[in-house]
Parts: sequence; C-alpha cells; structure tokens
Amino acid sequence: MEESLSSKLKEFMTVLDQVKKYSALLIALPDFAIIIALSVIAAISTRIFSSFDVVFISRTSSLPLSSSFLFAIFLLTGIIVGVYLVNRRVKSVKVGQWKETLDEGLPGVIKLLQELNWDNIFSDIRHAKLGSWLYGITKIVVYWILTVILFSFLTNTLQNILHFGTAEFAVELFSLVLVLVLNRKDICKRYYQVGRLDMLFWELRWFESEFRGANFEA
Amino acid sequence: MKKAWLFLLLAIIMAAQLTVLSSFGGVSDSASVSGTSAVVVGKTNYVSLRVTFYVFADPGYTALIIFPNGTQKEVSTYHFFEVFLPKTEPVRGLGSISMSRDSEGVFVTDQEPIDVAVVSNVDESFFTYKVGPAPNGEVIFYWFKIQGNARVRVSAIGVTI
Repeated sequence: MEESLSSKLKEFMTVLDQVKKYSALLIALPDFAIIIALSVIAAISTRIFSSFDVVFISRTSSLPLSSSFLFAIFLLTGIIVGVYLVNRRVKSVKVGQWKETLDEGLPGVIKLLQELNWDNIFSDIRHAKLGSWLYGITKIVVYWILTVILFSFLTNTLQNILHFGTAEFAVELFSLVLVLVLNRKDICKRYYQVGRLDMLFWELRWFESEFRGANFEA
Repeated sequence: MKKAWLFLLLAIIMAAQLTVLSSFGGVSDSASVSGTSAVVVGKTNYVSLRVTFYVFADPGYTALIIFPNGTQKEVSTYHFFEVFLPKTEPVRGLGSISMSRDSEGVFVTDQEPIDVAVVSNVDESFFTYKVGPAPNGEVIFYWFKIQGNARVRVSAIGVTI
C-alpha cells in the first residue's frame, strides 16, 4: 500500500516537474519571439540596404557578403540564440527536489502532499497546456524557416547550374508539407499530451477537495 | 506587459521594413536582334532606376550601338554598361503610357511604373513617333539603337521612395 502510494506520487511529481518545465517554456516564449523579431528585422535590413546599394550605388558593386547569405545568417543566429535562451530557462527549472522527502516513506508522502501549493499547480497546468501548443507551433515554424532557407539555396544553385527554376511559393509549400509530415508523431504526441493534462487537471481538482477535507496525523 | 509593447513596436518596424522593401521592383528582357533594333527603358518620374545593359555581338559579327545624341560604340565581343535614371518629380496618376509597336515595347502605368524591352527589326518611325517625354514629363524613356546581329540583355531595378 505504502509502496503503491509512493510510486503513484513519484509518477505524479514527475508529471508536475514536466508541467513546471512547460510553464517555464511559456514564460520564455516572449523573449524568444523578441529575439526572433530582432533577427528578422536585421535580416530584412540587409535586403533593404542591399537593394538601395544596387539602385543608388551600382549594380556591379556588391556588399562583402551577398544579401541572401547575410539574410540567412541573421535569421539562423536569431533562431540559435533564441533556442539557446529558451533551453537555458527550461533547464534552470529545479526538478526532483521531492525525491529525498519521498524516500522517507509514508510520512514523506503525506508531507509532500501537504506542502503542495495547489493553486500554483493548477495555474502551472494551464500554462503547460498553452506552452506545449505554442512550443509545438514555434518548433514547426522554425523548422519550416530552416527548410525554406535550405531548399531556396538548393533551388538557386540548381537554377545557376541547370537554369531550372522553381517558384518560391512551391518551395515554401513543399517545405511546410515536409516539416508537417516529418513532425506528425510530435504533433500527435502533443495533442494527446494536452488531453492528458486536461484529465490530470480535473482529477487533481477532485483530489484536492478530498485531500483538504481529510485529516492526517503523521 | 512591457514585452508585449516591445513586441508590438518590433512588429511595426517589420511592417515598415516590408513596406520599404515592397517599393523596390525589377524587370528584365533579353532577345537576339538583327538589323536595326531598339532597346527601350520606360519609367515614371517618381521612380529611381538603375538599368544594366549587356550587348553580346554574334560570333563573327560586329554590332553597333547608337545613342540618341549620336555617340556610337562598336561591339565585336561584348559590351556592358549601366545607366541611372533618377527620380525627378513625385507626381502620380498618369494612367498608362506606352512606347511600342504592336505588342512589343514598353508599357508604363502607375501599377507597373518601370518596363524594359528589346525590340528587333524596328524602323525609324518607332523612335520618331513614339519616343519622347510623355505629357508633363510624367514618363521618362531612355533608349538606344543597335545595328547588327547581337544578343541583348537588359535588367532594371528601381525604387519608388
């Protein structure tokens, strides 16, 4: 009985750790969006400067690095820095601190349950649901941008060598479909994960009301 | 909350940048020509335009470039040059003006304020009848003639700002 309770609480606390991570992810997303927006602004600026250079300076004068290359570099740098910062924020979440208390047996289990801040947990679960979706969407958009850059580079190379052109729209559409197909398992996983978080939320609501009503003597 | 405002500001900057970027546009044309041919560029007066011309003489032939002021340039291999046509007056609403023979030539409208064309085998009437400043100087045409067999490529990039 004690072992079963301990094992279930361990499972629950592990899920809560995951929820905390998604919650931290959601908090980090505005920073991520700002970094990506800054990198997009820098990337578009290179296009604008390059276009002004071509019209007003000379068509034959060229910037030290081509504008397309700089465009890709700025975007990639933004994505890498953004992902690094989000990753750092998620990794900074303290998890597993409950393990020592849980090892104490039944008194530890009761102590842990009593120390839980239920309001924070419910709030974290709501954040986690949103965070999970936003993370999934952001991941797909980032992969899409990277795939478009890669395929644009490949099609431009093909065009220069074989004079075989591909419409930009076709490249973008193909990249999106490819990314969605390659991420189909992740999308399904995320969908079921959000469903499970919903169930967890309502089960915990019920458990919380029961737990608050009960008297324990450790 | 401050981050939301910052993000809004960045979104406004991006929208402004995209507007600036969309004011750039480019056109190009290329053709193999023989006899007397015309290379024509047309633009509205509110566009700054840089045009690049490449003239490749056919192997074994010599092509002659004749500019409107009478200057001539003989091309036995290839010749490349650029022309910058500055913005003159920010006036819009010109309707459409063309310098063309049948469907060949340049067609300039407010929606497509720049155009280039390489028209092979033209007679003098092409230049006398249809070249020249449009009413009130709203459209500027730049042109030159090529005599002989050559391959001509024209590309132009302009901005309406």
